[in-house]
Amino acid sequence: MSLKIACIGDIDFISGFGLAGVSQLYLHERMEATLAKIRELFDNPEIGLIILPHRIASQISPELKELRRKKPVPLVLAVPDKSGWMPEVDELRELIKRTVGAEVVVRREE
Amino acid sequence: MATALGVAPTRMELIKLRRRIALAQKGHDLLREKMDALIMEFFGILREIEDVRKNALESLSKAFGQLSICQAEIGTIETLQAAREMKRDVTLRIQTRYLMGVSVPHVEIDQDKKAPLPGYSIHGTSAVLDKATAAFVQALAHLVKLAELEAAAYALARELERTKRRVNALEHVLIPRLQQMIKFIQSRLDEIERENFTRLKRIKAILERRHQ
Repeated sequence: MSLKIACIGDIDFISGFGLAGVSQLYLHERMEATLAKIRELFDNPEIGLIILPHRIASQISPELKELRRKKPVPLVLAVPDKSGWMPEVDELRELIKRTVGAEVVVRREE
Repeated sequence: MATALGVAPTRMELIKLRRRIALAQKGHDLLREKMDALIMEFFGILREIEDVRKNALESLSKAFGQLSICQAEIGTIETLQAAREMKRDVTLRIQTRYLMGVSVPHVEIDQDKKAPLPGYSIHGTSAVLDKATAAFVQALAHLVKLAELEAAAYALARELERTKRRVNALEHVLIPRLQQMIKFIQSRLDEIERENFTRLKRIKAILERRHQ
């Protein structure tokens, strides 16, 4: 079973991933439209991964969490866009804090 | 004390409760062990994420750099056009693995070998486009790995949370409640025994008085 990758973002973002061979490219214009698109992608069994910039993901993170809880696939990956912008609060770090009950810094022992 | 926790103060009930508490304790210990194992797995994955993320972000920012050069040289619209014309269709194969009874995805890229050439025409586009393409292909490989690991981390974290809640429920609610019940029954039984004892004494005294 081969699943497709979808990519939502501004023109630079989708140009780049399009060149890498991502076939499902969606230009982000308005938040509502993008959110609807994401819901649609979640309903599409052919999609395996959705890549979107942090800038969008951080604005709809409650909805994304909800969707992720319901279905394991497609995976959702937020990455920095061209400006390199990343949210201050790292979602994963937040998760560790909540589950382990302490701030954990993973360090490689030399 | 007659809130009585819904148990009859009988010896039978006491034995049952002792059995239940032993079972609860065993379950608690097992869950604790599971939690420890989950935490170890979780940290393993976090360590991996740290590395993969660094690589992914680096290659992605490089790729965006290449893309900017490309856009400057041949134009933004043209670049997008080339991206849309791309024949190479990257697909993923997602399988589920089980880690400690938690299903985590295992993702592999299977590149379409049939279309090694990009979809845009080689004639009429510049080498910078090829460079950007190569950079993004590389970045995408890292990102897919990152997506897999992040999904695994989320799944494990969710399971961890659930296990923790169960451990806590056993430790702080069920076991103390059972202990309280046992204590109640025991004190009640002792009380009954003392009552019987004094009753017998009293009867004995009455009988003795009658005989005299």
